[in-house]
Amino acid sequence: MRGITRDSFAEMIDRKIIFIFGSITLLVIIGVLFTSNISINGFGGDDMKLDDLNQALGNPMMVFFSWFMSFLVFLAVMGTAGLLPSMLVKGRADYYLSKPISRSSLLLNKLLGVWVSYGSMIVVCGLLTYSAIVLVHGGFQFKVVYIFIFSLLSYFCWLAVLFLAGVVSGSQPVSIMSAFIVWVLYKVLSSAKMVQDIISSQFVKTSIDVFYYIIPKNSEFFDISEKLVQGKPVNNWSDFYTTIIVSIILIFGSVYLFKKKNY
Amino acid sequence: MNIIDVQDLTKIYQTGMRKGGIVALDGVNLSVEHGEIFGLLGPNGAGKTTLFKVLLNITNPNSGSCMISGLAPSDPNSRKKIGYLPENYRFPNHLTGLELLEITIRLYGFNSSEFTENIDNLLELVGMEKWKNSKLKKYSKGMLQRIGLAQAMVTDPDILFLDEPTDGVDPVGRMEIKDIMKKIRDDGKSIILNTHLLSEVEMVADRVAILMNGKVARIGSVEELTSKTSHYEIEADFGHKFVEIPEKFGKRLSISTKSMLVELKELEYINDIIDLIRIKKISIRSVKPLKISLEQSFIETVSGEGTKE
Repeated sequence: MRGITRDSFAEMIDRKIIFIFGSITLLVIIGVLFTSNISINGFGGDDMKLDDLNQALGNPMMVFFSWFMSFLVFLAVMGTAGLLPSMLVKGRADYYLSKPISRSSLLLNKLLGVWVSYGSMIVVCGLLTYSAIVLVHGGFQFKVVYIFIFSLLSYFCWLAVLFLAGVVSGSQPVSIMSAFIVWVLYKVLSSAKMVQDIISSQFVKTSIDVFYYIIPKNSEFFDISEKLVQGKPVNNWSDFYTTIIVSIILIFGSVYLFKKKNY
Repeated sequence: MNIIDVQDLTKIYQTGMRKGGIVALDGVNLSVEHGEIFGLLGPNGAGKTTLFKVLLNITNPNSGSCMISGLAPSDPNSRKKIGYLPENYRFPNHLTGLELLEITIRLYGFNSSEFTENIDNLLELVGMEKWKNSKLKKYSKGMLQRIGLAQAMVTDPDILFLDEPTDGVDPVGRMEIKDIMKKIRDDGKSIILNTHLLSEVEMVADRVAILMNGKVARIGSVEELTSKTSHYEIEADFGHKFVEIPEKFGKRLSISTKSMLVELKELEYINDIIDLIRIKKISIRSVKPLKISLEQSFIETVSGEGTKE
């Protein structure tokens, strides 16, 4: 990938984000090790162990692991939000753009480079944490791979949002804010969708529907992966498909705008 | 053979929502021949860096055309044989000097292992072999300039775009960079040089263009730009003989027993003045146009005294 993945790895290490991921993972692993002796009162007697709770609540450790992976994705999104704008600042943009590589290749290589570098870190931290969970509580499930796949896909969709914001604004704060705005919009639209039935205006109903399907719904990926791991049926795949389609459109939009921009 | 051809190139930077904008390049025409060092001069804001950016597809022109080795800048292959040292560079400072060179090679689509020897030679040439494993963020301005020059040359390009290459470099380093530029030219490669140090351009450039307000105010060889064609120095044994210069030919600026300085109204009048001297039986040793420094020529052009040639 024209050295851009190596560049992204070097940048990730230099920004010390790897240490934040490492420290958080270590804390979580320590926490998991302590859960081996947890007794929970009030569930099926005084001496109920976490394994029994697993049966009662549908594998809470897996739910916790899925939540932890979504937290790692959140950290990666925060860590990478400013990467594209910092690559396109005056002086540094000149360095990259003066090379014999098309702008579309440069942007896509950067996207993939960041995804591979930070994605690898998410996977490594996830694997270490899951290994600790399996070591303490047993019950290895191959289906956990769904959580890894959907975490990486979710991160990829977030990158699509961040790259479009980065190309359009060229600003690190705007890029970070764009991720928050998308997340807040998604939450607002989800709530609106739940109360859609009591709204009388057809126009408002249609607007909510349209916006709901346009806005990336990356958080839904973790619900889907949890259901797949637990063997529950996934009733609604449309959130997944629309998010992937919208992300691809965002990437095309970023490439189109990047080709037009002056630096 | 021209390696760069610029025709009627115009670039206007839009400023906010208002109509119009800042005209950075206004119908620029110029060409650079293979194997020459071409100096680009001009006051701040004249459009020199913008011209570089348009040629390298960093910014898009509004109209006009430019070709590099017969290819439009929008074609990435046009940059395959180009090395560029930007002004106000901000190289990825998370890299070491060596990593910067290796990643630069990869960005050109080559394998860095193919250029191992070149990397070593270049690091030695720019005096950075000792610092190659240090992060760029620890480099001084002069060191960054040196490693920047190395990254511009690392794939052995045919054309080098150097924007203020000696900026921040100490006098010894400046001399070394000048020697490097001469060596590159001797190897049959071309350099497009943008600098404020006119003495530097005078020493190394073959041809020069002076940009002003986005237009080419003067273009020509260093020889042409530094010869003041209306001023001639005539060396002859004047002794105490008096030579009157009629007003229609021009005027005599100074005279000594051995030389006379004249300013001509028209170039052809030099023959009439020579005839006047010969009539007085004064033997002439030489007649030569007066030379001025490139700096003087530049200042005259910028202050409106120069003419487009």
